[in-house]
Amino acid sequence: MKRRKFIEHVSWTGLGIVWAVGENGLLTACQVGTSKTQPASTTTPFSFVQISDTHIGFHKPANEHVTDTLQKTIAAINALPVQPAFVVHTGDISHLSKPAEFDQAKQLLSQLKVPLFTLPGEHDTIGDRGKAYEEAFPRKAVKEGLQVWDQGGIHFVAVTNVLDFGATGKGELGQAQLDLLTQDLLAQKSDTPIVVFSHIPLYDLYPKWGWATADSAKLLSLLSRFASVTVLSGHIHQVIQHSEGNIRFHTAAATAYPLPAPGKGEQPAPVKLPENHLLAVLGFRTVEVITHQDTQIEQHSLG
Amino acid sequence: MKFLTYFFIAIASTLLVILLSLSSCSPTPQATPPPPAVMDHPATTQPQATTSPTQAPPQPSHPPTTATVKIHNFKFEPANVTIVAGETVQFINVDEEPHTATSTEGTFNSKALDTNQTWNYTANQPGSFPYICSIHPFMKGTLTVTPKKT
Repeated sequence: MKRRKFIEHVSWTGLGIVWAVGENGLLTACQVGTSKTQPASTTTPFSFVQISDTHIGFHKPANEHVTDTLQKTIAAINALPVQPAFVVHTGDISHLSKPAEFDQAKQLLSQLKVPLFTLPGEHDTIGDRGKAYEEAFPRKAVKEGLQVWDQGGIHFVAVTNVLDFGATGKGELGQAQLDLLTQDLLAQKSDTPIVVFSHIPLYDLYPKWGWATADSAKLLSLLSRFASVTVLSGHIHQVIQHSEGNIRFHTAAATAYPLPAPGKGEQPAPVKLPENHLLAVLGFRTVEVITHQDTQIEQHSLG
Repeated sequence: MKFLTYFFIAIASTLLVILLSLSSCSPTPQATPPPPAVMDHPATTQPQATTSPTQAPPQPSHPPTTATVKIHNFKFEPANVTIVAGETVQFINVDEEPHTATSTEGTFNSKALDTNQTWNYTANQPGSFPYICSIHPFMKGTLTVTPKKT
């Protein structure tokens, strides 16, 4: 009897610990560069930075100084002890797709010390399906909204899912882009780490607000045979993690303003926070691919 | 025995709380923003929206509009509007967030309508035109254009 009870207590305690680690420790660490002290393999770590949702041109109370918060983000990235291989911006560079907004964003982002990759958000394609955006941020070898490249032994895939929309306003990749994705991914070895960038999340995060991609199932099935798949998205201005099989999904914090948690409130409208709280929910993330199986993601907040 | 159970559960939960507080970095990994302090209900906070008591359109140089769609609280109001070919519908956004009126078949596409901006669309082609806001595509409306009576 005593022994049985003891085991019960131990399992309660154990459950608590497992939950705490799972909730918080899975991929997140607090300090920059902690992983450097324990290289998990002989592979050189490869790192890059994701920023998202800068919304240059936004002047509403939720953040009247979006250029300042972007400036802070850029300074923090430039001050990282190990410079990333590149920075990727996962969309909504501008607020209203105005040429002046793109110009200002371009000027600010040009201060980054490393190359910048971008993909459009729905705020970058208003009225012209992204024409002004493409002029301001021309991308190499983009076909049907898809850009792919290989770097550091990783296959990178940046998709566009903000031009057409499915039921409940979900994003869409479109058949043409899906055909190219099929071609591209079938040609990759299954032990090559894959990192996918999208603006709108590629799983059903909160379909009622369109926080999902209507035709992502085909892409996810193509990704299912790979050993390591990381999907990094923007759009929802908050950090949410999710996994389906081998695929790990991460949405990013904005540098501009927060949006409500899924379903909190009636609409996905900017949330006004006190100044000191605002900076804590804005920021960027570093992503380090340590081995072919393991990706380490670190959040860096501005406050 | 029961007391011992409570005791251990208490210790377990304390440990859990300590672990959580120790390991939490600024933005927590799960859904971040704390409950919104202020959700904007912009119609009430926009002084311009109430300054003109008359129905006078803001841009009098445009052809007279026969229908108005107010974009309010992430909705097109009314969601269904019918006009006759050659007539003009005016979209006015009274939300704090920008919106668009974008035909899903590409027939029309407004610019970004910021707070209190308007956009007039004169429909020449009869038919039924579903449209969305391309920034918040869960917002839906339908513009029906009936043939001109001769």
